[in-house]
Amino acid sequence: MTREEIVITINTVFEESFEIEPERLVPDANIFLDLGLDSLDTVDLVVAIQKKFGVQIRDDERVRSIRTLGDVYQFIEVIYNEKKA
Amino acid sequence: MRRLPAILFAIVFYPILTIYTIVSVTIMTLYMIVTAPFFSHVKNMQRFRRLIRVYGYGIIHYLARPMGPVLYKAAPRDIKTAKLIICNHIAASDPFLMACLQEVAVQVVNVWPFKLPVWGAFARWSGYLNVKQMEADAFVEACATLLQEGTSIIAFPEGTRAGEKPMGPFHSVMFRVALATKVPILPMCIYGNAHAPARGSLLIQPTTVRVHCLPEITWETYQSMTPFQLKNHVRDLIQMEVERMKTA
Repeated sequence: MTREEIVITINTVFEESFEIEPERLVPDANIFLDLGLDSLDTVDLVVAIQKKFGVQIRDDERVRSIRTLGDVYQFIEVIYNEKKA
Repeated sequence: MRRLPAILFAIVFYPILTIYTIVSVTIMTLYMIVTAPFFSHVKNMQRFRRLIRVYGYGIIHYLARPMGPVLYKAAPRDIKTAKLIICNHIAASDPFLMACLQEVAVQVVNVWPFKLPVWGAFARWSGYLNVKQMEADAFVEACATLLQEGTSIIAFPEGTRAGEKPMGPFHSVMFRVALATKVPILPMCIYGNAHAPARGSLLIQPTTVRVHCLPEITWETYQSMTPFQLKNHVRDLIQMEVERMKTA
């Protein structure tokens, strides 16, 4: 899966699960301040991402440092490459 | 800003509020001690919440009245049905404005109201929920129990006072409660009390406070929404009404 495919898939998760308009889904968008998620919504986000990518990230400490949509892309890219390796 | 009337009012208001509170607490405590043995614990909690409502009603409609009226408007609803009452949060006076409601309700509060003298004790005794000190699952369960008992729950999902700033984003936990319990949601909109009092001040500026309750949102309407969609839906409804209230 390329970086571009990861970005498209994650944006789809935000559009489908949270009904966020595509134009708001930019890498610099803060998922809490700009997209309006709270800590419980991030649990739903993690579940949706796990389902889409077939990865287990719920207990990964790195999830806690995610702030922006760009962080989500980066994190999933790393996780996906780790899984492939 | 009309500072002088606010200062003069504060000089009179706070001593009267103190006396009113001491007298009310004494009467309420004596009344509860005498009558509590004849009722169940659940019933006693409900009775105590009713007394708190009467106490709050006295403050907003009589003690604070010289600084302006509280105008309440609500769509017709069944007041006996337990519901979630979702409210925008402007100032420290918001919890007192809940006395406009006829429902017997507990409020979801932060840590600091529990630390206030007298009012903190009221909050503990009447079973107010401290959202900051409970795990999400335990919180949802506690809310479900109260709703099953017929007690409505009032929450300010912004989590902090907005004052004159735009309404903040909503936290989703109350909407998870709604989806788990299928109870109606009552959007409640407050406008006009940003300086009654402003954050960090005790001065109550002259103002007209408006409190509007929108029509209830029933389970049938929101059942297909996610918590995220539901919180934003309710927030949008409140936001639109507050904008209307600004020009009223």
